[in-house]
Amino acid sequence: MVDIVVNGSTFNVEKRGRSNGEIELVVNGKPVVVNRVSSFAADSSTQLLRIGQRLLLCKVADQLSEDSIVTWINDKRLLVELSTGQEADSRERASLVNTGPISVEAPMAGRIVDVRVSLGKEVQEGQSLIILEAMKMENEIAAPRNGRVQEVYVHVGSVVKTGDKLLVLD
Amino acid sequence: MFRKILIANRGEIALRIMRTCRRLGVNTVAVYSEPDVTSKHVFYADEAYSIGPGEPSQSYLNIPKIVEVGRKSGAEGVHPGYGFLAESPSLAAAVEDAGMVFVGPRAKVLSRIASKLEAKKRVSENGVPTIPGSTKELESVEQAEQEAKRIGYPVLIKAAYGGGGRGMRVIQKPAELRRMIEIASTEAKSGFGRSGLYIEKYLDSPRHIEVQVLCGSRGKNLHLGERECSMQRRYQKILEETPSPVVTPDERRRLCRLALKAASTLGYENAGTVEFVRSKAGEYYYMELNKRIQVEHLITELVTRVDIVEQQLRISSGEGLGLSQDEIVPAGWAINCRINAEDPEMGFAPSPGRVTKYLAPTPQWVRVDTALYDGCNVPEFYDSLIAKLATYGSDRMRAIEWMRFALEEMIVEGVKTTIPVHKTIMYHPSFVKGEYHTQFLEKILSSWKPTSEVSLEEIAAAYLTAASALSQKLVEQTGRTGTTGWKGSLKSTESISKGPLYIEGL
Repeated sequence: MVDIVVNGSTFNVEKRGRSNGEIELVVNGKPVVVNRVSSFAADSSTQLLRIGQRLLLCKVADQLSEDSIVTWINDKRLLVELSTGQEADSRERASLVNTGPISVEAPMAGRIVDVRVSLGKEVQEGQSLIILEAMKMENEIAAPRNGRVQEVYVHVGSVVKTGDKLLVLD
Repeated sequence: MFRKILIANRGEIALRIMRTCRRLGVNTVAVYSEPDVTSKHVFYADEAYSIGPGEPSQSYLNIPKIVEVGRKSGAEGVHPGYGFLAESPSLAAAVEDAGMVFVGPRAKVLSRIASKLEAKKRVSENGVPTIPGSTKELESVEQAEQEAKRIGYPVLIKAAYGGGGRGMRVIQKPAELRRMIEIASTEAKSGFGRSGLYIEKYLDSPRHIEVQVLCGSRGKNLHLGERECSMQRRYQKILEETPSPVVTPDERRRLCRLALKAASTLGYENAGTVEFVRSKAGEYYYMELNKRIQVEHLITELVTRVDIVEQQLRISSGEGLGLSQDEIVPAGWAINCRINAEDPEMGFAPSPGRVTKYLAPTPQWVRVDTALYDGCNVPEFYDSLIAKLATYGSDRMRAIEWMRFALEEMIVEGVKTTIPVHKTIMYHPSFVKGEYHTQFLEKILSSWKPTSEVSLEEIAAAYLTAASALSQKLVEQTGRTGTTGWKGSLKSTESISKGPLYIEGL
């Protein structure tokens, strides 16, 4: 049994068996019987499947990484991802063990229109630190956790790129 | 007609204006900021000139630079598009001083009606109903308190020189007034350069309905019917349709008459939009006159078959309006979805960046106004609108159905977009019935999640396609095949899909 994420939604898929060119799957608890149309000759990244009365032309559009792929299923473009949960787990662990200084980075490119804290100030998790203007909208950047402002790298009017360090919390 | 004009704008609206120019044999001059060097409007133009860094104040708002390019290139006119310097009396005056024509109202008309409050007063004196409120700019908090008491809470604070919801605040009770005035005043000052505010009665659950007008010389004024613009988020329009599902033929006649009366009272010229609010009881109040081509003009073009940009160019070049009121017979229904580079799952945070994949929707009866292409850049400096997706139907339901297909087919990857929100709206029973107002969208967004409209068959097919593709890759890498072809440990928890699952055929 595996979990796959299709266009952001998670589905559970189980492969039950395979006989006479028929593949039996269980998707979110519902059985789906798939036949590969073997007379269909195309390149290795394209196959024709029959499910019930429906024919589905399936193509690989783009391989994004080891565990994510963009497919065309007839005229639908679907992003299919493995959901191992590993990445999130390790990120979660990292944030738990990290008690040292933490740098706050720009989530998007833009211009700093307000710096609401100064050096040495104690801040609470969720407190507004910086206002970043992008696409004519003001975006609040909040403290990821409690801490003391150790460094401030930007000032009102600074232009920043995604990932630029804005400040460091102790 | 002009021989050559400069388009003082960027992206989709610059491109849309240039298309009409090309059709009419008018040469086009593009201006662009540094990050826009790969913007589609630059490639489409006959000539293109860099006017400075990405920061709007140094490029698209730089009047001397734009006028200099106009003069140097030999342009006869300057079209401002919407946003940036549209409605700017200073640009219009500078263009006129340089011996060119501003495609829009003349500078003297623009400056005469620059103050929204002043315009409202004049329109009201001429018998067009307006929302009760102050007749002068607020001078003190005390005066605001008195006015608010006179007209009754809740009240709305508005910027006299503003637009687009900035500097606008709803005040429910007297205690909030002082703080909100301070915030609104700061916003107005930073957004529009002038801090003037006024106060108005706030209507509950109103509809926002506007009338497109075309005003030629010698008082030849026409209307092109109304647009329903009540689908909004934080006073920003998200979707527009024409006609409005609530306006009856009788109401329409009255509304369009009021719009023309407002435009002629103000001595307006060229294409404009008269905005009204409609109360629950069906009363119309004049709000303001927008002195530019608007984002949503395309739906009016779809139902009237009038090219509004062409008419703007005809009026400004002195050729005159090529239409009379009897020739304008709107037919059918049109809807426009604004596709913004924003992440609806992250509170509509801006999502600039590189568009790795763009596929235009191609069902019947679709018009897409966009500057998107595969690999294009969405700069962080400008408005997040990246495409306008409009559909036409012989009736409202057909337009909605085509829109559902079009939204499904439109692919934008690399940046997040508002496409999923529009999908939700298109299936929402209240929208389908035409029952919505300006606070409707925020109500449904409070519990919004993207829905996945993928059938179980498609999931199965996607799984098998991904599995075989990824297993081939594994064969190449390690020389062995896995059972599913996927390496790494798989967690088999959380088998519930995020949103409702629409199941077809099962």
